[in-house]
Amino acid sequence: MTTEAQGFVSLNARPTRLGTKAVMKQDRWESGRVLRLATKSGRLLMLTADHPVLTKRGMVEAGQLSLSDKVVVDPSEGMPYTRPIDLELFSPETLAGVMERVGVTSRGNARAQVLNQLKERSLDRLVLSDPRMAQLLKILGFVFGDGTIPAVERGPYVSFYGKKEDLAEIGRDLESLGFGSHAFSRRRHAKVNTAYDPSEFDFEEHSLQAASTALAVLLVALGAPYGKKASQAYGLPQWLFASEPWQRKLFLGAYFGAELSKPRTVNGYDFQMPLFSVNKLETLADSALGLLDDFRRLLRSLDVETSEPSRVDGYSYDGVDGRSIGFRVGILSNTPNLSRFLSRVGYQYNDGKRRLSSLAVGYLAHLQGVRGERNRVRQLAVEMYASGVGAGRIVESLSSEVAGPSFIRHSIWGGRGTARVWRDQRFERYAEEREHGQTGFIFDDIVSIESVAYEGPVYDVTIGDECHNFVAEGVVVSNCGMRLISTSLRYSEVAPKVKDLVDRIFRLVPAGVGVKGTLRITESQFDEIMRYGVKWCAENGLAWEDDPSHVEEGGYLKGADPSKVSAQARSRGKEQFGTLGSGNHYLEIQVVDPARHFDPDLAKHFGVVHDDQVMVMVHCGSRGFGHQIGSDYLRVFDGAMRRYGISVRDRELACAPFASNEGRDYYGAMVCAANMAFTNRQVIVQKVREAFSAVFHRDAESLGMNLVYDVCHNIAKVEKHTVDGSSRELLVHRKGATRSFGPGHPDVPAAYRSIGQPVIIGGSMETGSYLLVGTAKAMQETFGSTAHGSGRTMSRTAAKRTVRGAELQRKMLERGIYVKAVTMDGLAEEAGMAYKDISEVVETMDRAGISKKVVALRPVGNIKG
Amino acid sequence: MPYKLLPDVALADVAFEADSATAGGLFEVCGRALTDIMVDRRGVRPTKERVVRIEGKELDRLLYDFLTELIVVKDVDSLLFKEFRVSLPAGGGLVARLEGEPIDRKRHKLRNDVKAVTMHMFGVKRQGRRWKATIVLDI
Repeated sequence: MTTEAQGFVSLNARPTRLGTKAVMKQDRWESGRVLRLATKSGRLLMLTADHPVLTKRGMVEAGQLSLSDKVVVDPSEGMPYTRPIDLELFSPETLAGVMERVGVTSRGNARAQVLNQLKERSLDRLVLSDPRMAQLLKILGFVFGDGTIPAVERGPYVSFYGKKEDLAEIGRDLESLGFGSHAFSRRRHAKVNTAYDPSEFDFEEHSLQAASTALAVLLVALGAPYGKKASQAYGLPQWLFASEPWQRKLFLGAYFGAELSKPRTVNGYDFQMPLFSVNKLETLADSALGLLDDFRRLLRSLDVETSEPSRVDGYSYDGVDGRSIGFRVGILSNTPNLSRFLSRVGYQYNDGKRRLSSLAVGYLAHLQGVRGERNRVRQLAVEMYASGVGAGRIVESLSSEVAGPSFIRHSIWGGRGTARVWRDQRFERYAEEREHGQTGFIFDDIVSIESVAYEGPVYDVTIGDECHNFVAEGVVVSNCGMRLISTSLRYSEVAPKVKDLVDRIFRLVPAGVGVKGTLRITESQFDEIMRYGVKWCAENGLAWEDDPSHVEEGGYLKGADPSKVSAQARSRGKEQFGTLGSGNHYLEIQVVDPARHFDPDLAKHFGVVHDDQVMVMVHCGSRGFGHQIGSDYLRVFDGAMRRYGISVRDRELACAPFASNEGRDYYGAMVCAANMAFTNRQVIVQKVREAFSAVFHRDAESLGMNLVYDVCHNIAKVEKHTVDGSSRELLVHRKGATRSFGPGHPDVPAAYRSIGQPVIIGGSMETGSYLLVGTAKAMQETFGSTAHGSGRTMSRTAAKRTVRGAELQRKMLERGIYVKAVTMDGLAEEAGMAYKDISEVVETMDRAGISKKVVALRPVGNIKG
Repeated sequence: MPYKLLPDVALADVAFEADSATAGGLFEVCGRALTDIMVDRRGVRPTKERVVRIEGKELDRLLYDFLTELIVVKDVDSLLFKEFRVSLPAGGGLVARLEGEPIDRKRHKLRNDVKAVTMHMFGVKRQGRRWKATIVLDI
């Protein structure tokens, strides 16, 4: 989506809160015509005719909208995401100094414990570009406001004060960083001296406490005040001034959620200056002014102007440490300045103020629109009158809702200068009429709907605000992949034994409906598998020493979090461990095709040295385990999408911001599935080695059964890529695609680094497969990706209607392919004619330069689940 | 048969459309359709009974959870069902009484191993006086 389209909201369900406010829109655009919608408040949206848009009469497809419809928009602009610099925010020495200061002594192992807790969460070092800064900035901002890190004997902790719902949001952010918290409520009595009288009142105080000393240390290291704020001098952390605008917005927003008064009008129409104040001991007046100056500088960097600080008249508080006084600053309330502030900075961790702020932005834009329209009418009326049109005619032709007859007459007779804003509607009334539910979003009038030409990408995703990465559940669940092993055998040696080999492997590797694995594993072993994949196999005699280094990422992806995997998923995974599965999954004995041995030199690097060498290919995944994780998180994401205001065209594309709790949980679970898939293929390959060894009466090592490579082709991975000339960390989703990293990439196994990674492309069981190599061009053009296989052209049902399994099996045998399948129906479904021509697919990728042909592999024996 | 396969909807998966006069009936039809895709149900004997309870208010989620449960039971307990009786109590949730038997590779004519219910095109709707659902299964 283009940048001009920001600000629209298309929701599948009624939104309640926006959480971190990651408004994401996603559309699928075929090249061709799209609709361009313009609204009164100045929003533009380009979308396909069938894209649902939320309106006053419910969800309406864009093509069915009429000019009388009112569409829901988010009036606030937000801040575009820009990549922060990799600035180190504190040094190990700072951390040590902070621990000294907050009383974490160097005696015993207290310090080591705190450091360990930070290390466990990878928070012992922190750079400004860390994605978790989104949460940390808000938490830090709130601590400067309604939070404290008290200096008490039992050690520091962090307290937040506010409304219950807003504290819950803080709690969720803390949790996403790996810190727990508890909510408390108590009745309190307060006494304050005002200019008039001492004032006393009762209130219920809600607080949230995070007991972690590590969190307190982290926040103080980042610059949070420690101990009583009123009794010490401090300013804002200087690194804030090096942060990106969206980061400054989050920090300020959270501080203002706590400290800044809410947007409110003087008389129903004109807004007061929102105010915030700093209270300190009289002796620390300079520090109070210094802190306010920091805030003002930070605001000015976002084009927001503020008033000079002034003493809070009449406020004083006599506490145990002495008398404190207050200074305050206001956000200048002229319309452009206030609009900019509310729309781009606003409030965080305070849903009430956020809603009001959003509505106020809409109201200010509305008033601006009315003013513009009245000026236009005034000018027109004067011109018409000058050219001789009668007053009656002018009034008749120009009267409208915003410019009534008396205004027009006044314009003709005496009108000069700018029109006053016609006080058509008070803010409260506007909010009441325009607000969509309790969201702060407004119903906006459509000004125009045009059909325009668009030559765009097929999928394009825009995410507003700070969370620029999202993780899509539906496309990466199965974690299946390809594994290729070589042998030193020639086809002439293997040909007479293909049947024996296939039958033996068929017995050793279970396949089919509801099948169970032969390897029994305990819960704790399964935990290890989820975490360490093939590395676990190597440590438990289920892999050769070299195997892990020939698996993508050295045998396992980092970041697995077994605690995010459901009990159901675990059960399915344990039961099916070591099984092949069904559908298009297979195990195949293949022979190098001498006629299509494209690059013998490169092939040698991959262990292919002969023209008729025998290879074995395995295509399968994490079985029901990954699918169950997918089903579990589909539910979670369904709810999360509502909360984050995300809408997708197909529910299977359920997703969540990567930095959100849901996104992180899913990623931790998905990595478990990927590691289980690597392990599953490893266990199957061990069985294949066993079968070959038994048939040839030689050990598998002497048969040269080395792992060439194992690579996923349904996965989301965090990778670094060059975008517009600079290196960026991206979340790359590969679905129906596989990695194709070129020469020199550090993630390519050392053995292949000089030439690029092996790319394994599986075709149908009749037509064969290919081994290719990754290219530098793939790095430039496709984020290091290429197609993963041939893809079907015929449905399973249609394939079964066209060909009978038994007949296919006989015909394949005539062509020298011995196939053994669990069911004949399953075999028919996988017939070669149901797939695209693999050679054509590979040729296309080779010509596009995103992977390069090395050798074609012809099937001679096949096992189908 | 109150369901029909949709061969052109999803090439790599199996899709079907189910139809019934009642919402509970719709769940039963979907359960049968899912099982028919995995096994020739005529050969499954109703020797074991299992009662499944699922919490929830939204009908489409309940259906998703119900079908997912049948897949989990197939993988974890190796059970396939012949008979399905589903009631949807007024207070929400679902109670299903299922009758079937453990997988017997010799006797059962097994078909596709269903891995998951997808959300692609997933939906339950009321059309006139009938209940309809579209389901795409990942094979």
